[in-house]
Amino acid sequence: MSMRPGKLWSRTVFLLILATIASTVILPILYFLTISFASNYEAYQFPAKIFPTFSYSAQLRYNAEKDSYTLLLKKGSTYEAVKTTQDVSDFSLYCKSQLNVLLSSAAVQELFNKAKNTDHALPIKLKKDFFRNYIVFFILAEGSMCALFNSLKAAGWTILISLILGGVSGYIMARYKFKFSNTFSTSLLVVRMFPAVALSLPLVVYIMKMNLYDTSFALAIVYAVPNIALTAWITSSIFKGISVELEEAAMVFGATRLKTLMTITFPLAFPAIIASSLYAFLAAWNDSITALIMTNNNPTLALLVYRTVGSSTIPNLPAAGAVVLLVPSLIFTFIIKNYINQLWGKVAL
Amino acid sequence: MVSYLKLNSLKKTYPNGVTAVKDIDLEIEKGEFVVILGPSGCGKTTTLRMLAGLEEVTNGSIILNGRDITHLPPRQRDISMIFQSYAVWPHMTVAENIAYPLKLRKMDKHTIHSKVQEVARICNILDYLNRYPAQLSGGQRQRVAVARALAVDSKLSLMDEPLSNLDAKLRTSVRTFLKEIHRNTGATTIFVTHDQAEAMALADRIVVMNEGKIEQVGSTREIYNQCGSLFTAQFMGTPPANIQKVSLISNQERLIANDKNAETQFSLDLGNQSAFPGIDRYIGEEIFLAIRPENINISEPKGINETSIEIVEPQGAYTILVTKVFGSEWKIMLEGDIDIRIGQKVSLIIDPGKIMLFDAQSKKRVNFS
Amino acid sequence: MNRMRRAGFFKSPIWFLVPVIIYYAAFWIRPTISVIIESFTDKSGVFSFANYVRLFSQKSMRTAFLNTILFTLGSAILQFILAFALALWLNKKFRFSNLVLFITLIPMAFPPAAVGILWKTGLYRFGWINSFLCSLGLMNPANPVDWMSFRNLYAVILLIIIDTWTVLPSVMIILLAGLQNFNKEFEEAGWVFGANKFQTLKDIVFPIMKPTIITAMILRMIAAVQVWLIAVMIFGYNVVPFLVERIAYNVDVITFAKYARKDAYTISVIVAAIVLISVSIYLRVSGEKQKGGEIA
Repeated sequence: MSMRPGKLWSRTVFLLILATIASTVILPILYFLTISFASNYEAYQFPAKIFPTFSYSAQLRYNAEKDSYTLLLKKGSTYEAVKTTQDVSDFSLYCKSQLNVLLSSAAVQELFNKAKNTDHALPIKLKKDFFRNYIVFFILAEGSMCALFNSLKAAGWTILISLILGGVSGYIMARYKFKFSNTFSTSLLVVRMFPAVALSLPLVVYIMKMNLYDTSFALAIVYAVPNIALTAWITSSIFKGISVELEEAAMVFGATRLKTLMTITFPLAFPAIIASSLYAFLAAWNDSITALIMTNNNPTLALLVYRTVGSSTIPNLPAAGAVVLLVPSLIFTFIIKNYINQLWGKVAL
Repeated sequence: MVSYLKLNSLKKTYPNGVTAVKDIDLEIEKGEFVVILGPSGCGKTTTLRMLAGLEEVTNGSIILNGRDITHLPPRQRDISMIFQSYAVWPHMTVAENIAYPLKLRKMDKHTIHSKVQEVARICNILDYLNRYPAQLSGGQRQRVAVARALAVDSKLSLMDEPLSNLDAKLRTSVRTFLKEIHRNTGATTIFVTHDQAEAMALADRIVVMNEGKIEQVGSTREIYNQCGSLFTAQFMGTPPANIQKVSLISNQERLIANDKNAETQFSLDLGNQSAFPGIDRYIGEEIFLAIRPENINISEPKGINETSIEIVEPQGAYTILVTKVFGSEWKIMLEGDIDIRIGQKVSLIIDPGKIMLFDAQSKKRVNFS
Repeated sequence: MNRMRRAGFFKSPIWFLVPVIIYYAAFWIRPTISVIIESFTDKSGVFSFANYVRLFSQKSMRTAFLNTILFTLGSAILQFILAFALALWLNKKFRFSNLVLFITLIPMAFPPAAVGILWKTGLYRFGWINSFLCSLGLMNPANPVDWMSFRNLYAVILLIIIDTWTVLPSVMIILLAGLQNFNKEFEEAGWVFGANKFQTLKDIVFPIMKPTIITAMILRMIAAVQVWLIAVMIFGYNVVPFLVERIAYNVDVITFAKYARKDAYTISVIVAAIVLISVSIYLRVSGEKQKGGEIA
C-alpha cells in the first residue's frame, strides 16, 4: 500500500520533531563532554569541537640559531607555533599542564634529538592523557573526594530520614482516617511549597548550637524537610492502591501486623519506596544553596563544583567535576523513569 | 435490494503482523439489530471499531447507505456508540454529557434541552441530570451512555459489550430495555458481545465470529439449531452441546456411532440411516457428533443407548442429568423436576433431526435435516 | 523495625505520626517563625518594617522582584505549552517512543551546578553555541555574539530558555503519566460523537487532565520562583538579580556586611510569601471545583 500524500507529510513532520528534540538535547551534552576532556590549550580554541580528541598532530622544529625547539600544533590546515624552549623539563611541563600530554624528560630528550637530526620539522603525534582533567579535579585537587563522600553521606541520611518518617506517615494517611487527617496532608503540602532557602538560614543557628555545623547530617536534616512530605505523598497514594484485604488476609492466616507489613505491604510498595528514595537522593545530591549556607570546610560535591566555576577561568576542569556530579543523577533518573507512571499517575493535588 | 450497511472483504492487520480480522463480508438491512458474537480475541470488537472509524481499515470497504465511509473519521460517519467502559465524561454533568454531541451538531439550545429531557425520561435518569458521573453507580452511568447515544439520531448505532460490566441481574433488565428502545427507534444497531445468551435474546440476526473470520450468520434459531460449524455448535447453548469424535458404521439400516477408543466400547444408535441423507460417504470414517442436552430424553432401559445416571442437578424449572457416553461426561436437560436416582439405568432417546454431524477435517456441518 | 519499637503503646496509629510532627515542629515551624520574626525586627530587636523598607528602596531588590516574577510567569507558560505538546506526542507510542523518552529525560538528570557549567561554556563568546552556529554558517567567526553581555529582559529570556532545557522533562513526565492513565475511550467517545481533534483536546482531554496539570504547574512554579544558581553561574552576582540570588549574595558574598543577615531573612520571607500567594491564585484561577470524587 503506497503512502497517501497526507501520510508522507505527517511522517516528515514527525521526523523533523524527532530530529529537533534529539539534537537539542544531545548536541549541548556532546559539546559539554568534549570540554570536560579538553586540555587548557583546546579550551581556548574557537570554534569548539563537538567530539573529544585523543591526540595532537604536531611538529617539532629545531631552531639551529638559538638552539631551541618549537612545538607547532595542527590548526585547520596549518601549524601554529605554541611553545619555544630550550629546556627539557620546561617543555615537559608545558605538555602536561596545557596539553594534557604526559611526556617524561627522557621522552622529551629523545624527541629533541630526533628533531635536531631532521631537516625540516619533525612530525610527531602527541597522545593525550585522556582522563587527565578528571584525575586533576578529583585526585590532585584538594577536597574533591571528600566532597564526593559528603554528598553521599548527606544523601544517605536524607533517604533514611525521609523513608522512615515519610513512609510511616504515608502508610497512616492511606490506611486511617482520623480527625485532622485532611489538615495533616494539606500541611505536608504547604511544607513542600516552602522555599528551602528560608529554612536553612535560621536552622544554621540551631545546628551550630547542636554542634552539627558543617556536617552532612545537618544538611540531611534540612533536605529531609520537603522530602518527608514528598515521600508521604507518594507512599500514601501507593498504599491506598494496595488493598487492605491483602493485609487482612495475612493477619487472618496468622501473621502479626509487623510481619504483614514486612512481607506483604512493603514488597508491594517497593516501587514507591524506590522512587521516593531517588527523589530524596537527588534533592541532597543536586543542592548547592543549602550546602552553601550550612557548610564551610566540608562542602558537598555540587557546592564544590559551583565554587570551582567561580575560581577558575577555563571551564574544562569544572566541566570534568560537573560530569562526575552528573553520573549518579543520570543513573538514578533512568531507574526512576520506569516507576514514573506508577508514581505520578495516581497522585494529584 | 441494496443493503443499508455493507462490509466488503474487510481486513485488519496490525503493524506487528497480527491479522485480527480476515476478510469479512456482511450485509445488514436498515433497522436490523445485529449481534456480533464470539469469544475473546475473535475480532468482533476490532470489526466494530473499524465500523466506528476508531481502527484503520487495512483492506476492504464499508458502505453505509450508499456512502463509502471506510476512511472517514468517526465524526463524519453519522454514528453513535456505547463503549464498554461507558466513556461518560467525568468532568461534565449527565445533562452536559448528553448535550455535548448535540452541541457539536450545532443544534440550538432549545432543541438540545428538549432532546436531553426526552432521552433522560426514556432512560430513567431525569433525577440525575445535574449530577456528575462520579456520583452515579455503574448501572446509572450505563444509562447515561445509552441516553447520550439515543439523543443523537444517527444512521448506525454501535454497542461494544455495554452490558459486560453490569452485575447479572442488571444485565438482564438492561437487555430488555435496549430491545425496547430498538423497537421504538428502529435504529440500525450493531451489538458486540461474548455472551451467547445475550446475543440470542437481543438479535434479529447473529454473526458468529471466530479467529477473525465469520463462522456463520443467521437468525437465533438458525445459529442455535442449524449450526454450520463445530465451533458454533460448541459456542452456543448453556449447558454446552455434548460433542464427541466418533466413527460411523451402518448396521441393519441404522446409523451407529462408535468411539474409536477400544476401551470404552460404547455405541450410540443415532436412528434410521434414511434420516441422514448423504451420509453414505462418511460410513467408516471419523466424524464429529454434537447433540444438545435438551435434545436428549430418557426412558426406562430398553436395550438401546443404555447408560446410568451419575449426577443429578435440579435447577427448579429444569433438571440436568450427567451421564457417561463414550466414556465422557454428557449432559441431559429435562423439563421440570425429575425423580431419578444416582446410578439408575436409563435409555437415551435422541431425535435424529436434532443430531448435528461435522466433518472431521473442515469442521463444517455435514447433514441437514 | 525501629518505628514499631519507638512507640511505647499501640493504642492508636496516630502516635506514629508524633515523630514526624516533632520533626516538623523543630525543623520547620520553629525556624519559619524565627525567620518571620527576624524579618520584622530591626537591629535593636524592636518590631518594625525597617528591613522591608530598606530592601524595597534598593534598585537591585526591585529589579530582582520584577525579574523573578517575569521569569516565573514566562517559564511557566513556555514550559507548559511545550511539555503538554511533547507529552501528547510521546503518548502516541510510535516505534521509538521509548528511546525518545529516554533522550528527553536526560536534561532532568543534570544538577543545577552542572547545568550552569554546561551553558556557561556555551554562552561565552568562544563557546560552543557560537561554534555550532559558525559551523552551520549562521554566524561570522570573526564577530561572535557575546550572549553573556545580555542584560535585563534579554538576559531573563535567555535564562528562561536555558531553564526550559533543564526542566521541561520533569514537567512533561507528570503530564505524560496523566495522559497514560487517561482512559482512551473518553477521547474516542468524543470523536464518535462529532468532535474533531482540536475540540476533543479542548473539551475532553484538557479538562480531565486538569488535576495533573495543576500538580505539575504548581511544582514548577515553586521551583521557578527560587531560581538563582543558573543566573549566578552564567552572569555572576549582581548582574541579573533574582530574589534567591539576592539571598545567596547576602550569604555567600557579603556575609559580614551590616544588614546581610537581616536582608537574607527578609528576602526569604518575601519569597515564601510569593510562593504561597501565587499558588493560591493559581488554584483559584484554575477553578478547582470539588466534583464529589476523584477523577483518576
